[in-house]
Amino acid sequence: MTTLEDPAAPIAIPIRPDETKVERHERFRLLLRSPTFLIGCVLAGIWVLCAVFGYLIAPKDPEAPDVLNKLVGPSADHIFGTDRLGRDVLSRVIVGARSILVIAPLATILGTICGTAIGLVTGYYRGFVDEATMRLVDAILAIPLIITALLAVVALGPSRVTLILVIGFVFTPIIAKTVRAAVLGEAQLEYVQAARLRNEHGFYVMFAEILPNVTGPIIVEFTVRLGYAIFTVATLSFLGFGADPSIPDWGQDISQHYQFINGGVWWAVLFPSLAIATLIIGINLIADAISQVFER
Amino acid sequence: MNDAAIELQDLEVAYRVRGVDRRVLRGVSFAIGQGESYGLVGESGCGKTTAAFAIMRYLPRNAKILNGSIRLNGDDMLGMGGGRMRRLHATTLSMVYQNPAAALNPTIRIGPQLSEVFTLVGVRKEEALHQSEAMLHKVQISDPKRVMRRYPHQLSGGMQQRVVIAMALAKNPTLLILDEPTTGLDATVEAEVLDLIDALRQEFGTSVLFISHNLAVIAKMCERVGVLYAGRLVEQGPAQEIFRDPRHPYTVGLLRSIPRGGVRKDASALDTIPGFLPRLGADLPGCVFEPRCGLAQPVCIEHEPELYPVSQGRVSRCHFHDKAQELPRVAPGRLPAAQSANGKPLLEVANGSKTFKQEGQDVLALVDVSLAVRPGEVLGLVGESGSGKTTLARVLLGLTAPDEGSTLELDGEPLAGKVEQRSREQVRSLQIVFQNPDGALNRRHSVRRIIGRALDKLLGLHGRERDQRVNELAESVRFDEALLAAKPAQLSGGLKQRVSIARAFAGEPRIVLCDEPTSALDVSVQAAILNLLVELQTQKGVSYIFISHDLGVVRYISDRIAVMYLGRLQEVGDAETVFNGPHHPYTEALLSAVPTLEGQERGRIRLEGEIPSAANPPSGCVFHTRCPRFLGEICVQEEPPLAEVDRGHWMRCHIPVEELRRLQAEVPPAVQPKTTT
Repeated sequence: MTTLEDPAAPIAIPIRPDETKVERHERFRLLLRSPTFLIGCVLAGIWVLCAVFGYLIAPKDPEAPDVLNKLVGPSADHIFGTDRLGRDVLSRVIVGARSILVIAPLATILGTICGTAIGLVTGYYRGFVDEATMRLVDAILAIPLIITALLAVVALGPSRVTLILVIGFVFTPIIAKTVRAAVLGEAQLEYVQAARLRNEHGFYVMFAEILPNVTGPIIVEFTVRLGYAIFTVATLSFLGFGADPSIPDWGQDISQHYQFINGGVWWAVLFPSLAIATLIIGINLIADAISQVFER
Repeated sequence: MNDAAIELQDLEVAYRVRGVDRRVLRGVSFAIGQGESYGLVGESGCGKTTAAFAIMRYLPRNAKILNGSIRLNGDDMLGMGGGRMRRLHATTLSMVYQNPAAALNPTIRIGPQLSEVFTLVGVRKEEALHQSEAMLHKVQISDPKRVMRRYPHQLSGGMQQRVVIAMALAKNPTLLILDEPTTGLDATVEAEVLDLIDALRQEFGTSVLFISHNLAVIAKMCERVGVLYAGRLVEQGPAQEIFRDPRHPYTVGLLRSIPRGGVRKDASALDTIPGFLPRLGADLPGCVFEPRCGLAQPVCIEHEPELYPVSQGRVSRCHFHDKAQELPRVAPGRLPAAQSANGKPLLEVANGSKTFKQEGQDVLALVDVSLAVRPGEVLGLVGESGSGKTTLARVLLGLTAPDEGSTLELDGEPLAGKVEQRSREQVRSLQIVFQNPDGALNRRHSVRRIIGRALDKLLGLHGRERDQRVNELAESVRFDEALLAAKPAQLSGGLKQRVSIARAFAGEPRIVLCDEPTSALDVSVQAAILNLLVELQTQKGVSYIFISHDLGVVRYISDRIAVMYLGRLQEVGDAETVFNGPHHPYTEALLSAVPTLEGQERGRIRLEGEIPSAANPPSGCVFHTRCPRFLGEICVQEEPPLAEVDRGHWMRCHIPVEELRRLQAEVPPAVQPKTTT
């Protein structure tokens, strides 16, 4: 049955202005009707709110140590307990959303822009440049992503900008591959030949003719990568290569407390971990819903 | 009717789209007798396939049967449960789809795939393989053992469709549904497959429901025919009678829009059907065809006509069925006369060759083609797929650079092989209308932007001047200015093709290549587009190179014809000379493959097998392996030259033209049932 077309679909519909708008908003409407998308938005939305309002909604000062109340379990005063310096875990989890939610999206945007440009050029021009670039991309992808990132951070010295650049760079080849595949399909279509038949510059063909037709796969890839970026940022800061040791950060908090788990101090690790997990799940649910709508 | 194999009674089907039930079948009733072949015709969106799916119970999930009944051998099918339905699919119902490649499982070899039909009803495995082999033999596959070891993708389209037909007939079904079974095939292959279906139907005594948009195919294959329009059966009766003497304005309109019987553009314009198919599920209280009917009276708006009996076994759903043929013409009877083509050649290609490298092999897509296009003429280019028509077009346009040694000239000036190296003047002189209007227009750009950009780049027009020119172009292709802001997805196929034509004409071209510009369109839309192309051509004095596999269309529009086979020109001459003969044996075979509405068959010449591979073409005359008039050793040894056999009539054949004339005047050689490899 999957090979059969929906008989309702292939009918050529002569224009009807009243349905034009409906058509345009069809995708958005489908997204809003998808429970996957809505749950994803709620999960991710909570953390976005925390990132934006951070210090304003945190119940306590996340950086104020309280030596008398070190490693106290969850209680009415400290719902998520306190850490090894007596700082409020709940406040640190809330404020910690900011650093990850700044670095990960910016890095993903950077990777998407570079990857899209490379994918367009290689997919449209093919030939030697394409061959060479794709072999290089394969080589980069053969090295575990986290090791590439680690080496680069060590070389450049950890900072927020470094993290963005490094993660953006390691994502570029992956996104380039996806975009290239989509461009290869589009470049076969006759409208690209029609553009050549009016002496259109390659730049125009790539960015004005082809690019608008491959936004679907790019958006899908972007959301998927965003999930991975969050994971990568958390991993790097867990390994001690975070942006700034003085700012509350989930990965860093986990790494500083996992040695206490044996002593029964689970809260200082569990809550930052849950934060990372829910954020990634939220983003992945959104990615799932988007890819379903775009690729159906 | 108690002896009916299948009987549909008042069937109503709706699709649920955006929360609203939209009716696609509005009470369809027909019956197919035992062993009868019944054709269902109508343009796309009329509900033909929905009717077939309703019978197979393959309707998509958003479909609902609102009313009516379907009886198979007298048993009500709609009440049947899943188990009984599965048994029916295994034993009594079969369907063949348009695309055989999608109907076969690509991962299973033909043998096991076919024998599954037998094992499903309890035949033992070895016995099933044995029967499969016999079945493949029946569909005229000469080496079934070898074919059974192959995967579907290793077979050509025609062979795949034979296998699908073998699978469908293997269970000796009561009813076989054929949904456009030959639409994707070349005319020569189509002819063979149709012959095969006809022969097997008579052998097995199967009832057939044949669905096609091609009236000539239906006329050839079916005893009775039903015409479907907007989910309503509007006319029904014996096929020959309906096509000779239609009694519903829709049938009349459809028949008038087909170029046939050797009609040419200078004799008369094709008639068209104005307006659009009503939208899915629209509320139509009166006659469904009333909004587009030239005969409509107030009564047609108020009262839906019943199926009036016209004569024995014939009905028509029209209040004025006795006057149906007086339907006023929409298109003008005559098109403005074209200027006669003369003068120096406008575009010339000499020794044009193109070799593609494919897996280390040289594929000779174009071999030594020399051809000239004169100002103001329409040159038709015909041949099976794989004959090099599109490659020639791409070489002329500069989209594919020809091999070294080929020369292209425009107005006597050399023309670079790559479009990027041509002057703006040369680029805008040569434009194209593509086959597939969906791929030809950027779906993210508005129509105004699509046409405007061409004006900008080719003529250097900007601002208000350009906008005004866009409006003029839209008007010249009868494209409503109000739709200029629309995106292609919002337009029907015919409208999209008009945009494509407007874009091709934007740079004031001198030669427009038309690569199957109407093959994706319904016949009434095709007629309107052909009329428009003829009108633009005479108005602007451009030349066309018109590529098509539809010989009726080519004959209608062309002044001269070039016939290609395996990348070589086989025959070039004035349209009437080429069509009336004496023709090249290949042309003769192409012509005899096309079913005609008139019913009388031309000489039945069937080409054996498929076009050979261009990577490994036959020796001597490349056509000798399939030639119906094969002479002997000389054809295998020596390639005949393209010689002028008459004034302006060139042919590549060893047989002297007088001999061909004599042979082709005779009764055609009898067709022996042949098996293909």
